[in-house]
Amino acid sequence: MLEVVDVDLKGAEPAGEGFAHTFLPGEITVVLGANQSGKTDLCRLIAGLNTRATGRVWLDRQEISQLDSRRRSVSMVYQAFINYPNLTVAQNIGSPLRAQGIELPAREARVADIAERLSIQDYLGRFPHELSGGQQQRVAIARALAKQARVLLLDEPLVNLDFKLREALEVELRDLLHASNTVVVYTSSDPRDAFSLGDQLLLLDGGKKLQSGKPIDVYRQPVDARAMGLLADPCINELKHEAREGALRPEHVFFADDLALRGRSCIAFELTVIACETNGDESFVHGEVAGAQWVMRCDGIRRPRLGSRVSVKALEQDVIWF
Amino acid sequence: MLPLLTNKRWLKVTAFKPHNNRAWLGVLPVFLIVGFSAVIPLMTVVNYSVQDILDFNSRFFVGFQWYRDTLNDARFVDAFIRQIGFSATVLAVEIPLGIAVAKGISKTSRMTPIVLVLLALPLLIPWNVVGTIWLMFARPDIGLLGVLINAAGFSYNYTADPLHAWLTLVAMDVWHWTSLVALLSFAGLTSIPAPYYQAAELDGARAWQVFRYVELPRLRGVLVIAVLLRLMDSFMIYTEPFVLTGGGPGNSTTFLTQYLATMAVGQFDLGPAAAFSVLYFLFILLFCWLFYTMVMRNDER
Repeated sequence: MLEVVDVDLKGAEPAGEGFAHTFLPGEITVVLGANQSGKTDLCRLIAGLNTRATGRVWLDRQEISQLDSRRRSVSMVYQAFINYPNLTVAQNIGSPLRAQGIELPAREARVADIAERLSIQDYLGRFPHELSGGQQQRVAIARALAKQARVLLLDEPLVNLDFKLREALEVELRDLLHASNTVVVYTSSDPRDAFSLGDQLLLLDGGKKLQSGKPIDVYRQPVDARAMGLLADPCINELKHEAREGALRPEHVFFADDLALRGRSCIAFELTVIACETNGDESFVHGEVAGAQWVMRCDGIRRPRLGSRVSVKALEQDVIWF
Repeated sequence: MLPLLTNKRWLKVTAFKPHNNRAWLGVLPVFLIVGFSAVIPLMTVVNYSVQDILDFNSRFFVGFQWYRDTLNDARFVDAFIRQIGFSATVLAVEIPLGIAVAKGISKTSRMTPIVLVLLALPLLIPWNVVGTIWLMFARPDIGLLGVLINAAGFSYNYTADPLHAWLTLVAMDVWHWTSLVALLSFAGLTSIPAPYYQAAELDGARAWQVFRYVELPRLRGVLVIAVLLRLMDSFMIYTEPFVLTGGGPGNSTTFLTQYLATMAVGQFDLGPAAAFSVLYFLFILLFCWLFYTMVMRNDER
């Protein structure tokens, strides 16, 4: 169990004002936040690396805040593909084991085992620069796993990969990480990661903890507009209705003739179309409703005429009131 | 269907491509400049090296006679060995020292630009001035360094003792050129992203291992350039030893350039001097090629 206490990610608050959070072993906690929200600083704080963030870190009821990063049971995977360029893949994976003083035969067995789990067993003799980006990141992940640390930090590990590779690796990672009994912290700025990987979700905003809990719970009951916005793709639609302020997710806005709305209580809006984009599978219609910028996501290819006014509706239960 | 289609496209592309060699005209000025600045002077030397020219009207073709004479000349061989010794010594000192200096410079301090300018100062001093500075600095009677060493109890006189002359020359070259290696290495070090250091730290790597596995592989490129530059420069060194020791005491610090200058300007033996020059040029080319291919072959491993 990993606990962080009195955490101030920007290093700007007076002591005692920081937040606390508990990460459980065997679970993947996705830390979701925009750029500059302090995700990387949180990782560095846990790892004991140089950072502006302040706070105390407890691992299995022992405080490790003062411990040198070399002696913490923490490994980390970075956004950039970081390996030792002049070591082979096998030597790269084995490097933390070598630093731990594990003898060669045992080391080789473990390296082979981990390489197989990440399906890079065919490249053990090669050098990192001879591999593709995805394979290089596999090597980096394998190196992090080889250390068998009690905490594994993944700092946007897949953000530099193209999206098909990202999805494939994500599924593999989920199974791989669940199989171990480590605390896994996975930072991301993509709300999809929260649902595909996360057992737990921690929302960060401007260096502060916004909300935490199971992804579905956070999705259903966001504490405020920022928390809701972090989990919305691409953004939320703010509205005023009968003197109350609320917001709608793009996927909860429907054209007025939509069958899903039949016989249920709805709120109607008038949307002036500004732009449409589609990827065939789904379409985004951008528009303006009562002076606010809205975007709606609908299935299939929908392209209403630009400038036209269309009638849209939303289920009352989908509106989140603040 | 498909091959036919691609075939047609190929036809279309080539049919509209104008075929002429006018582009060569654009390269012509470069050929002219390189010809006048490099090829013609070099060929003049080659011309001299295979002939014995007495005056405007009488000259004799001697083939490789001057080359044979040069290679059999004991003084040439001695100077050559001295030259290799000198280059090897200054490389062995300057490269590690330069890296150490570069590692010592803070990457983030406000003083960094000032330190870099101070480091670059020796590089800005004209070479004969460097020689003169050390000529004064190391004099055992009035020079600060010479007097200090003697006062510390060591008998030191670079004008009399060959070993002292050597040490002074090496010290001068190290003082003059270590900055170059340090600046290049510093540039290489600053280009390493911080996560590489952090990853090594989390792996439990010690300072030495960080240097060996994180920094050194990424310094490789700049170090290859540094070694090549220093190898060529130190192999052709002339002005500084000429000013400082004049090749003495005896012939103990007479390097190739100085022997060549004596031959060409002092004795006016233009034929042998030309053969000497061509050999000299080929040797430098050979060393640089050897070093470079060694490095590249290592890369392909």
